[in-house]
Amino acid sequence: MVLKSTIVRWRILGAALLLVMLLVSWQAGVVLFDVPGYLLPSPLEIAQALWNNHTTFAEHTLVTLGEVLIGLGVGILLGLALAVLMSWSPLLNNALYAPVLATQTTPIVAIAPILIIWFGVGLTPKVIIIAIFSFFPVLVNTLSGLQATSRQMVQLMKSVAASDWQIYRYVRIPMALPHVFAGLRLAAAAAVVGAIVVEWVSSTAGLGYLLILYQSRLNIDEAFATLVILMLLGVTVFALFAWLERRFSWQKRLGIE
Amino acid sequence: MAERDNGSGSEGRPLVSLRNVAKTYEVDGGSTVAALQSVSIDIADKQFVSLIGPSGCGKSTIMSIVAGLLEPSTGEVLIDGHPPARAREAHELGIVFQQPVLLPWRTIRANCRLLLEVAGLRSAETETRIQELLELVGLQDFADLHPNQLSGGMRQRAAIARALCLDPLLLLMDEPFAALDEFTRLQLNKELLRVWAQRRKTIIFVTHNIAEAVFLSDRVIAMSPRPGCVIEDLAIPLPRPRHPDVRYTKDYTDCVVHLQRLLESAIPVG
Ligand SMILES: Nc1ncnc2c1ncn2[C@@H]1O[C@H](COP(=O)(O)OP(=O)(O)OP(=O)(O)O)[C@@H](O)[C@H]1O
Ligand SMILES: [Mg+2]
Repeated sequence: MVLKSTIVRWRILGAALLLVMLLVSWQAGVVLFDVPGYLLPSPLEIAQALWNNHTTFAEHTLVTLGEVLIGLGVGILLGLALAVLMSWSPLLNNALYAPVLATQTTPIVAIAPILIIWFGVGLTPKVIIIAIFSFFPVLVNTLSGLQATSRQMVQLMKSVAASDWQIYRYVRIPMALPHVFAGLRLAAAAAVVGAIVVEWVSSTAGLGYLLILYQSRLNIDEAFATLVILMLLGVTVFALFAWLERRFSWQKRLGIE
Repeated sequence: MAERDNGSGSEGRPLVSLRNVAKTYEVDGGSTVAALQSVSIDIADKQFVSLIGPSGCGKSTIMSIVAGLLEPSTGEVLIDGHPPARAREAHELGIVFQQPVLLPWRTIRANCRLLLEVAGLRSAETETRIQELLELVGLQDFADLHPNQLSGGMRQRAAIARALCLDPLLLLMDEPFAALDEFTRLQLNKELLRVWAQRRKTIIFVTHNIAEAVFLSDRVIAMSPRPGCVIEDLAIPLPRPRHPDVRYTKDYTDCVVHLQRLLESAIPVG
């Protein structure tokens, strides 16, 4: 255990060091080669833009974060429910396969305006689009997780007359957990992308809206600052699920890879 | 070596009875595979019976049909006079596979408890029984470890303990030791006999290993493939309890040689 935590500490230190080196060389490059600020601002300029507008940024970050969490929640529930249904019944699996795939092959940018016509510019179309982005990785991973149980394990359960529900509860669902967590992490990242896309199409608030606004005004420092926040938002949501995984996944707990 | 009285039905009806069981699998594309053809076997209570035969002769199919996990195409199976579905509901079946199939997130003890929980039979009394069974298979010191912390042989012992937790009438073992090395297999053979001496169950034991079948069984049933049918039903005249030294007696080698000749002639070479 001691050894493990030491290794983790060194790894974090290494990553931080690399990041600092990257920022320093970026700053040095911009200054040395005299790159014009409207092409690529330096890290210091970006930091300054962040600081100067921090109340604006905070406001819009909260808007986007709210959308992401609600949309992600809906997407996760939808993905989990569909996965259970599709693994349970081959009929449903066949019936739902094409429609599910269609949601992923249709360009979201094309559906977004239609959804806005249907549901107005409020939260509903945003939640729908973020959910469309995030349910898919949850569904695909959970489905393969639910099918990871061996035929013999199922036979063993059936040999004591276990019900379908008991087989899910005692075997299939716990067996699927490591896959589910992998899906959740991907979904978290996809939800942030979904939020930005829908805010681009139509919005009066949020980081996606802010990004468009700053770009149209050629406020490049602020646009980059928005990007940094978006990145941090994605990483935070991702880290949240990584933490949940460490906390609740038997695979991580037992150190089985 | 002539056919012998197999002792089945000596005390009334047999515990397991297969009557003209046939199984034809439908393979996708409309074609069919005849896996079993008219198999009739009676097995007396507390008998240790081995099924032996080349790969694909339908041994696993018989096990699935006896467990009621697969419907025969024709014929019927009775366990203690009832269809297998009833035996499952009454928790009269224990199954051991070639792979231990333990749940990786449960400790060995909790894995043994699994079927009791599913059956809704968990109690202080069953906890004691689990402890006794773990002691019986020599896992008392490993009860609170997870399967990934155990060797293959230990995992298979755990699978045996789990199969006995519901105190079943009938134990179905499908090549339980085939994945183990020779030494561990011998060790587990001896342990299985010890367990069986203490908890007398009816056992149907599938194996590819003729010597193992003869050493363990009261009776060895040999099968031939395509379609699977019984070609020999041999009573093993060796005394119980079986000491490993019986393997050097003439009766033992007679049985082994007889079965070996039979199975070799059943599979056309080349
Ligand atoms: N689900 C299935 N669908 C189609 N054919 C099957 C199926 N299961 C088994 N068979 C066929 O039935 C025959 C008997 O299979 P079975 O698994 O019972 O053999 P086995 O004696 O257990 O073989 P092994 O010793 O290799 O385990 C084989 O020819 C096999 O191809
Ligand atoms: Mg088999």
